[in-house]
Amino acid sequence: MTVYAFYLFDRQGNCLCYREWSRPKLMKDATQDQKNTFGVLFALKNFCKKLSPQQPGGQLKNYSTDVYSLHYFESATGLRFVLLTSRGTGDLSGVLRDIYLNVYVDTVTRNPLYVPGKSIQSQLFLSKLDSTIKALACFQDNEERKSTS
Amino acid sequence: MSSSRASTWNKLGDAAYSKSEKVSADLVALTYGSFVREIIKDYEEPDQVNKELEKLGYNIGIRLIEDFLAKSGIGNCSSFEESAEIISRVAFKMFLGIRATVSNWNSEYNSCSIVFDENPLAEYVELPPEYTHSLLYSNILCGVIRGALEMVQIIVECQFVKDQLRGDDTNEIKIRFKEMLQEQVPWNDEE
Repeated sequence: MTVYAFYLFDRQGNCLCYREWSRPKLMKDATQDQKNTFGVLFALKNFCKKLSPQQPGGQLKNYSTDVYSLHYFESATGLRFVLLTSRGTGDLSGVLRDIYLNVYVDTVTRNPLYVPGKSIQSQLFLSKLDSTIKALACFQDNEERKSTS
Repeated sequence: MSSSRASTWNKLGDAAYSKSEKVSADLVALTYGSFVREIIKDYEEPDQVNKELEKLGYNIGIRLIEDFLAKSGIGNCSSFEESAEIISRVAFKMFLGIRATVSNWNSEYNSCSIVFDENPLAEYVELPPEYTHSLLYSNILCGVIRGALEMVQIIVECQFVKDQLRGDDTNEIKIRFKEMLQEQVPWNDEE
């Protein structure tokens, strides 16, 4: 079980943060990859709302293929938190919500030097994000894999 | 608005208030006061000052909403009515420590007033006669509400209609709902 990557998008589609911990497939163009991811999620969200049996459409939480899972959390302000992991991690949308509440709000929203819409440069945000992800139970396998190979 | 929901929000406001870090009310009142004085020195015309205060409030509001959502745990609101109630019962309590109420709904339910008796920003303030009827001292609050709601796709217009500093018996902010922004496709040039 591993965590591959993290994306953070705002409502306009700007990728505010991208972090990867292990991405086996080489990406040729990071911007294109981010745009694609945002586009997929935007369409998927609308699709989920349309198919929903209840009136308030409900929230997309994650989707899984046989190779990976994508976990999603969207705040009321349109911030989209995305985590790509391997299978078997369970639903991590709650973790993304915690990242929003405890990491993003404290280090980015309260940072007067941060301009909304620009990518996040704050070292504090990045290091807190790293430590939150590394503290997840499903992250440990990354380290083991690295030391044995 | 059912009273059970109202009391749930009151409790939520109280809980969020007790969880928050407190600052001295005097510090806030005096800092805000010197702030307004500086703006008056820069802009002089009360109308300009009011606009500037509202703009400052807007910049605060667009960030404050995230803090509010984080601390209160509230998700999406189902109607403008609900939003107005939450602003007055939860947000005013959480950030200003005062209880506000919503009243004066019009028939289409798109305009209401938030009424509050205490204003911690205006604690030691007396307006000189030349500003009493033109300066909206706490106009920053109107900007905060407008900015915060805009981040959750609700466009409103906010205005002070009654101000205790002008001699009225209470403080009243009128909020008019203008529109709800729909989710837009951000770019459709290449895709």
